[in-house]
Amino acid sequence: MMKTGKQSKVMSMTEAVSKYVNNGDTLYLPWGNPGGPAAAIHELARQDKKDLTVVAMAMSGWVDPLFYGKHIKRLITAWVGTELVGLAQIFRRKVQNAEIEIEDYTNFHIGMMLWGGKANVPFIPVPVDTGSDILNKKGCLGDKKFSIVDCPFTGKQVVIMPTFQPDVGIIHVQRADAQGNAQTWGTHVDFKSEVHLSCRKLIVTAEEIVDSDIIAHDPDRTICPSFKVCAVVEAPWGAHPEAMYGHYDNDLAYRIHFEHSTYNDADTKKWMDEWVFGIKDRQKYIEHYINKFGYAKLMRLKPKPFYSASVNYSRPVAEVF
Amino acid sequence: MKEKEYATDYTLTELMIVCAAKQVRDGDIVFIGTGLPFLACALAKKTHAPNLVPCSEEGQIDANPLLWRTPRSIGDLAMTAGAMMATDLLGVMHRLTYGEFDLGFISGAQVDKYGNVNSTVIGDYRKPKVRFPGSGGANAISSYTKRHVLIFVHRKHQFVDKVDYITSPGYLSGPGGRQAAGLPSGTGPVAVITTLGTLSFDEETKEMYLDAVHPNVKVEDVKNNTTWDLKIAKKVKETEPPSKEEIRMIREDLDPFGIYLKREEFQKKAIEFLTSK
Repeated sequence: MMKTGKQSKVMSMTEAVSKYVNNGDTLYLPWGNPGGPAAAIHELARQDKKDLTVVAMAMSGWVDPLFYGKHIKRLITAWVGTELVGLAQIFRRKVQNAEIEIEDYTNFHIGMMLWGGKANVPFIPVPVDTGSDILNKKGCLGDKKFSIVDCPFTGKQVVIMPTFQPDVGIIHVQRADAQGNAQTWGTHVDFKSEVHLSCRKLIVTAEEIVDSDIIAHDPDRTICPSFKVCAVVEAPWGAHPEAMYGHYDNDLAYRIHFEHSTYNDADTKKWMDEWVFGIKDRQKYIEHYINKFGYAKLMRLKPKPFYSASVNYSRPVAEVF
Repeated sequence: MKEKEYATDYTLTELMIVCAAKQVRDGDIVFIGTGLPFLACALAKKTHAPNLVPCSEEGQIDANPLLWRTPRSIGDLAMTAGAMMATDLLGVMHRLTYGEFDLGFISGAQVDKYGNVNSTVIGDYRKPKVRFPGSGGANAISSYTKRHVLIFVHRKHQFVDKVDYITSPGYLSGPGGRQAAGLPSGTGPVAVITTLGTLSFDEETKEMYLDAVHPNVKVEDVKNNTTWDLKIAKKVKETEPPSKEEIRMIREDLDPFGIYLKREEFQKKAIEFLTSK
């Protein structure tokens, strides 16, 4: 379905989410801070998909707008919150009203289950205790949450967990080419172990779309091959209000402002109308930010550069011996 | 050597940071988390533990958390530029389960006498009265670090007979509880730093007991704020007050803008800043 050919997969966020996220899909989302797919999360909220199951290691950082509306049916995760800012108020009310079915694991479990999906194995043993309620209390996966078997080699009991191969995942990166070869740098919770490659297909949103030659000059940084990618979306400021290495810092004041705007349903609706439903795409979102708060407020998020030394991959010469 | 000058003007949070810092040993490989543990580790590194190795589940190993600014979270840009290694969550977790981490910090909504911590739900799991963020890395940290320290607000409804959900295992049902659950030997909670004092765990019974009270706190205050019949050390110590220099470092070097120390005031100012013309 997705070929490696040179055809461009560049499209708008609206088209990418509309075309490749289907009702009933299992959707993978990476850790949101830094570099989370914030622009895509707003688009998901706008499109009102149905019966989505979301799998994510920890929903940390900019995730709460995702829980507005009814499109998420199930959530398989380990943590949902906004760190020093607060508690992800929308998510919290949803769970307290039993409007989302949840299954709690730990960050480590979800990572291993996605990693197993990436490795294309049906289950994965995890080094884990049996004493906590992470295993004792079952949510939406019921008896399929885990199992305990005897290790055929040592005879010892071992906890095994199912692996996940989500229908679609959305990742935000610093740069990608038009075919979807995507590159990131800086610490990211998911990418070094390639758990995002458990997905059957990926939507890549990028700060910039670059020539394939730039990718090929530094293949170490490529985190997914183009044949895994169904859509490429150019989304500058696509992680805002979280940070992106090499581009912008996290917008702490905006995140605090949001948290304080979501303590009740009426205020939350007002915020969602203003920042999500009344906005077409990321470009309009940034224009709205500038109109409302001023250009200087946006520009204060530009960090100072911190360059690495460049490396030499070597280019061999064509000689016989 | 100059005699230690004690501070007289300090907050409870600052006192708890100093107490938590004292749990850090020089050379410890530490799992750091957002908030108070950040500041405690940074203080320890600047004072008695210069060889501490800060790591986080975001993936930074041997990070230098105060190189640029007070980190706003483990995912802050400030944590990566200047770190010795940038891997990812599984990269760090594998080192953790391998037994390579010495110390971690855990907080939560409820704790029982064996140090089992709830940071998931109050009430029924499927339709909770209050939903908290969940385990995140906490379950793995409390399972696999050699020592872990609990940090808690000391109130009766938080120090309970039975937690509603065991997110992070302490000694589970008491002596032998961790072994029965398959947890590695030589792990478990070693101290609870609270708003009233410091509690330790009895080596035989694995039960928490009151070891030290903060200045101006009475043993009765601690007992009255604990649901179960709290055991008391034969000789309860008084927490050593922070030194003037420690308080200066916390305020000037660790969190000069008060993002953690003056959280409410900071948040109010942040909103005012953003929305002002």
